[in-house]
Amino acid sequence: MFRSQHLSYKYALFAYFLFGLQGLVASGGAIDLLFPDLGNPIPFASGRAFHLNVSIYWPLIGMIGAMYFFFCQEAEREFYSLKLITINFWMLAGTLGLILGSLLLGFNEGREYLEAIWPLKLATAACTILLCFNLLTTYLASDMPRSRATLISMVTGSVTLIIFYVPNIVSYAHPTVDEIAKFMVVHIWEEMSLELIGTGVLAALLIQVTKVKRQAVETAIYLDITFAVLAGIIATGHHYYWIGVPSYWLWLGGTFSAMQVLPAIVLLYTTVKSITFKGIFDLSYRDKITMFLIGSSMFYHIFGAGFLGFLMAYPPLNRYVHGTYITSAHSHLALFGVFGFLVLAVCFHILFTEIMLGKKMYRWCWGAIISLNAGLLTMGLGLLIAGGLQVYFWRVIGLSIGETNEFIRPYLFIRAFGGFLYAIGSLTLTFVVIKSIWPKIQVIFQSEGRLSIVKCDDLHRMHGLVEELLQEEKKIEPLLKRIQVLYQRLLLFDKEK
Amino acid sequence: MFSKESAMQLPLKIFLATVVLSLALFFFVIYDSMAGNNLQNVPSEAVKGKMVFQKRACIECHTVFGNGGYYGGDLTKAYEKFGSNGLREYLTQPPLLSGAKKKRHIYLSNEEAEEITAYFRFLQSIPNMDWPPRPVYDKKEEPGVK
Repeated sequence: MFRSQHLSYKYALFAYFLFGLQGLVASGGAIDLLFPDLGNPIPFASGRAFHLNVSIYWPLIGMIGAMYFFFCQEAEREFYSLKLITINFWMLAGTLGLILGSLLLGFNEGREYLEAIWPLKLATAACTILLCFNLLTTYLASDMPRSRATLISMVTGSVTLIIFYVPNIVSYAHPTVDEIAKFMVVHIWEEMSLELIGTGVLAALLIQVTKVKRQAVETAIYLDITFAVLAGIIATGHHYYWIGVPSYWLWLGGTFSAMQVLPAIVLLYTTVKSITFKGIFDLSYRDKITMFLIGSSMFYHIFGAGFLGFLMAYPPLNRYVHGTYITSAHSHLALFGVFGFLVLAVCFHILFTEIMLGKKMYRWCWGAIISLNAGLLTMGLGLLIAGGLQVYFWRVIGLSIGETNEFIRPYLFIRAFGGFLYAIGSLTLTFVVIKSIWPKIQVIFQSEGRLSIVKCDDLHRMHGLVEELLQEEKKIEPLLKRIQVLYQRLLLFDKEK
Repeated sequence: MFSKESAMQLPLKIFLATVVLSLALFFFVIYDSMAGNNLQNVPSEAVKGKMVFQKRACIECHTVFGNGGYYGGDLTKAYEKFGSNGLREYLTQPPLLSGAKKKRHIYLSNEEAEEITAYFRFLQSIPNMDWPPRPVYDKKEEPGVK
């Protein structure tokens, strides 16, 4: 195991912490929306900005950690600079801490998802530059084939993170330009950069867990990332339909959005191809949870992001459903459903590499993930119905927003209930992770730290073998007795002789 | 090893070409959308109004061009619906929020209300393919944000 991998634990742990926090804050927001008179301690605008920023940063921090973990494994060498991995972590954590603190204090740049004040956005850009520097120098120094798909997808994904973030450090006088820039982060980061990074990380994980042959998935990874780039970048057009740009964006956005289902299908194909049924039962507790989380991510990739996104991007339909809770349903299913679950999966895998996941905790994990899925589906459904009614009351029969809000209230209750289930799941899973990690917490934050000399997978395999031996023992016992009898008789015979 | 390396060159080349071409096309189309007379100049009063809009984080509850929070309704054509006087009155003497008995809409000073009205007047003038669509069965004469 590489030392770089030990250094990435803290990213995964921090991602889990933020994910738990997100469940709490979001539930507060959903309740505030239903009962505006309750007197929430956090103003709604600050709370929502907090929620949106955490939703971008926690998957990002988890993905960066996963890259530090899997990139060195794929490049088969240590990172160029180990110190930078730790520096990058504290920079990211500090930046996010300041962003969240400043948002709660009411410092808000007033651009959705990009509410942080500009110096903190500059710091975020600096963090991605540090990451890219470390990745590129390691890639160039690696002895592995230059064209190794996992390395290429992670490097390209990270470089594009910078390209699309930089235009967003400042805001623009013209609202149309603001919107054009904003979706380079809101759309392209998720649909292209994180998709590339996620594919690379997922492929590296599958190669390790399912022992699938690298050559068997290499072409599929290339196909996936090529589609992701081809569709992902220009499909941003579906966010540009009504912002004051020429009408050709309707064609561009619509056509390329339709292609966005392709990478999801290829990724599903690659994953399914690399798994065998027998193999699933042989997996350790930790990898069973990881695979379940990956499975959840695949499900939302196809349905929440793929098909729902496909329908919504069709311009004549988008004209009516745009700007309603339907978009909110889609963003929850696509952002958490796809990337949230994927990041949870890889971070879980990373954190339990050297720390054993207890049997009791394992059961809690299943409960938490089922609760997360149930919560997300309920939330998605509530929002979809609320959005559908908004379209009807607002865009079809022309009621005011106030009247519409009264009609859709019951469905926002369903959303809040879904959010409650989700929060139970997220807090349980975070609790399991933090409780399991807690005894080793100091070592995780030490740069020279090493948790154990054996990997948990080896321990798990050893445990399996001993179990098998114990099963066999029952059959062996009569045989051993017969041998013993014979042996004693032989000894006796020897003495007599 | 060498043969494997060269065998993987083609997918890599196709991938990199896709990255470069997609980026080039994307940025070219964006340039084309913004170049020439496609974007009008923003009057200074409207710029100030946009700053008020951003500082007060209006986007967390309202949408502009359909992007933002879905609670407060879309403001892209708010100027057309309410007019200068209606907007000023609404913002300087804020009414209760929908579903609330105590909580009111955020309060703005006269100056801020003027500036934000100028911003809405400018937003109104942006040719965005007439979005949001007019209600199919227009029951009221002035449907919209309240």
